[in-house]
Amino acid sequence: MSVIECNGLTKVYGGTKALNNLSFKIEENKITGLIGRNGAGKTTLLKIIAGLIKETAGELKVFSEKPFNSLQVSANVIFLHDQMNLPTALNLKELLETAASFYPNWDRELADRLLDYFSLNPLQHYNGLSKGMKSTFNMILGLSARVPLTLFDEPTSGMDAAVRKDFYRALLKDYIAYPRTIIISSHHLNEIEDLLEDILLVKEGKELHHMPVADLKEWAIGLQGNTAVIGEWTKNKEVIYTKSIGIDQSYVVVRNHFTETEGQRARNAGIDITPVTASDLCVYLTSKTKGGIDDVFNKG
Amino acid sequence: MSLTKVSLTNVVKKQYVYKLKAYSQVFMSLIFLQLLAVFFSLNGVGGMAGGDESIDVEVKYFSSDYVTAFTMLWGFITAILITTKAYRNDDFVFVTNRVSSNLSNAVFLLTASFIGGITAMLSSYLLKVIIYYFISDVPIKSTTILEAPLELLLGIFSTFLYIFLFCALGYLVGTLVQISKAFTVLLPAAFFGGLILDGLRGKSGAIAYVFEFFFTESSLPLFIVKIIVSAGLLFSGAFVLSNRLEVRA
Amino acid sequence: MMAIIPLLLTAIIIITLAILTARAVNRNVNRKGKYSYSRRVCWIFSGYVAVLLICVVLDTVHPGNIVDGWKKVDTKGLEKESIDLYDAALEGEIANIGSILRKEWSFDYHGQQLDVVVTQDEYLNASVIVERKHNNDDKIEAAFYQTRQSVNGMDITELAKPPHLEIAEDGLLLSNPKKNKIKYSEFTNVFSVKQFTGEDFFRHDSNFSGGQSILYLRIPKDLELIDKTGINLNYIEQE
Repeated sequence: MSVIECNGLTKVYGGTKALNNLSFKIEENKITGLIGRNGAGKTTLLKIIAGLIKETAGELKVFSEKPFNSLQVSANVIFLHDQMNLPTALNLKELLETAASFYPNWDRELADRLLDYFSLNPLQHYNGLSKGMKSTFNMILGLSARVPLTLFDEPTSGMDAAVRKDFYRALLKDYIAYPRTIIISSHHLNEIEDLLEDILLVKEGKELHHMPVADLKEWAIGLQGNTAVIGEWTKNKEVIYTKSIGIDQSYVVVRNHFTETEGQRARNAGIDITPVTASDLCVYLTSKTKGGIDDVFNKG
Repeated sequence: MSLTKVSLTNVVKKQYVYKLKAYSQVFMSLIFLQLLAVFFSLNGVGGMAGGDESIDVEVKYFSSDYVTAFTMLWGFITAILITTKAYRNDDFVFVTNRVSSNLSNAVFLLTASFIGGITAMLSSYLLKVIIYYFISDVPIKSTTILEAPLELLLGIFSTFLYIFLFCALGYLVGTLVQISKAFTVLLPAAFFGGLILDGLRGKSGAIAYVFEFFFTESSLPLFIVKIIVSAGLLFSGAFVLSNRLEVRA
Repeated sequence: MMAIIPLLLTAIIIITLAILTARAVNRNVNRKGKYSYSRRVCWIFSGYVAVLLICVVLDTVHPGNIVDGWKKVDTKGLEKESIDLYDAALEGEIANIGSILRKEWSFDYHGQQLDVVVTQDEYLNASVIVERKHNNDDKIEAAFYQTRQSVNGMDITELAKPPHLEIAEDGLLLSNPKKNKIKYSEFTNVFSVKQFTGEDFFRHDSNFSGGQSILYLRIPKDLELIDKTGINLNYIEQE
């Protein structure tokens, strides 16, 4: 059963299209990474899934229902982001108690222990926390709720490296013990690569790729060598990214259709073949030009 | 993981309990406003002087009219407050939809009106005590609670209804403002414009009519019906209008 | 109606200030304390209600004021009393209404004429009605009648004093008593109660009933009264 089904989803804000004819499907009990540049539409998409805003055109169904203004969807989706409105009159302990009353799967002990582990004072109020601590609290909320569809929007913003590591580990452990559908949108793909099963890559409001992480890692290959030689080899290939190194060396990323023999021949011709990490690949795929920032400096 | 099924009543109940804590600051402003009103009432709400050739009579009147009026205004403002983004979006972190959010707000306002009604009526005793012990050097005529318990109950009930009516009005006003910022200007303009027109035209204006519709109704059952229907209409209007609102940060 | 606008505006300004203050206080409350904010609000509010309830008890318990002791009267009844008295007086039947007699005087007078003078004020508060007796017994009897006075439904007749009467030389001196002043405070019901108990909404139910006061003179048959100060003596028609 598809947890989320999306067809031709479009959302217009003012004059701009935040989402432009987006289509995808998310299956049950998978951790999917929602990757894209700032402004690609990730947060907008998550808000629509959570039922906070409505689509302008197209269709999105969560658990076979339209999420906007739906009580059933709201009960089975939790959306954690850094603009969350938590009431100022309640302290952290009371917020957790409120969550416990709303979510039947709430794990009270887990929440208390996590609160204690991350040294959050239960008597403090949410808006007195620093950015990192807010994110930490959001994480505790999201994990302990054990909601069938859990959405994290930039969950690690403000967190220091140690806490980020803990978060990924905690997420994985709880996910394995209590499987559910999770979507994480993050800028740190390199950190969460190992956590994710699928990646949904979004560029300018449209889906670019939606595939398992393992596939994405194999999707492209990096070639480095003499510019002329590289040019020869990549004449008929789909070039994703180019960068010049030194005077006559270049680094090029192309689609990986190379067989073993081809690879061997390339090496003989003096070309270095290196794998491309998913994180880098996503950056290259979503950039505006093939040359990246170098183009800014090369013109003129 | 299996899906949870929820019922509307269940969610509304949970939200109501949540809001009693989350919106608790409104009760602080209630205390503040009522004490302020008591302070204003210390100078009396009216007076009478009369007599004939043999006797001069001067009477000063005290009552908790100001406190009740302030509490009604408090209800109005509290209702507007809970429609503002900061408070309204408190629901969306947890389980909700527009209907349940509105319903739990309405129940919360009902509770607040009831509490406001009780404290407003009891504050008249506070006023009496202050006047008697600390201020007045002239004899005082008043009725104690033992002599007129029914009037106290009547007062609590009718004040509660009045406050709830103002809550309903405030809720609709707040919702309109959420829908379009233009109403922040339009509504006060319409209200004050109406008042001024009333003043020019004499007592026959629309706002004066509304005023008389409630404030001069002398039959209790009819009054109850009027308030319930009006409040119901105002709330329904707000519910319907807010159903399409998106959650903006 | 127009007078309400400045009051309304003042109220709105004050309330806005109040709300803003409350908001400001709210932000500062986000310090960790031993008790949560909503707990503290609960305590403070309970304290407030406790204070109110204590006031209710105090109000019941504290000794009554003078005003409390005044009997309640029915204002309409009073009006009727006043008219009745006046009518009866003119008929000569005032003696039948014995209960409102306040004071009686009796003077001996042997003269043929009597000046009637009002001293100190321009005229006497009471109406003067004169009855000629059937004989000349050299006695002048005077009686002062007063129907009940009330303010706001309370009987204040005891406070009204009868006029002074004095015989001197050949004149009957009448003077008004010193004016009484009453000042008190009254607690009325809230408007939301008044609209159901029939009391008026805006005007406080103020009402003052002056009562009727009559000075009834019974003079010897042939005594001539000379009105020196324009009192307006009413003589009863003798049959």
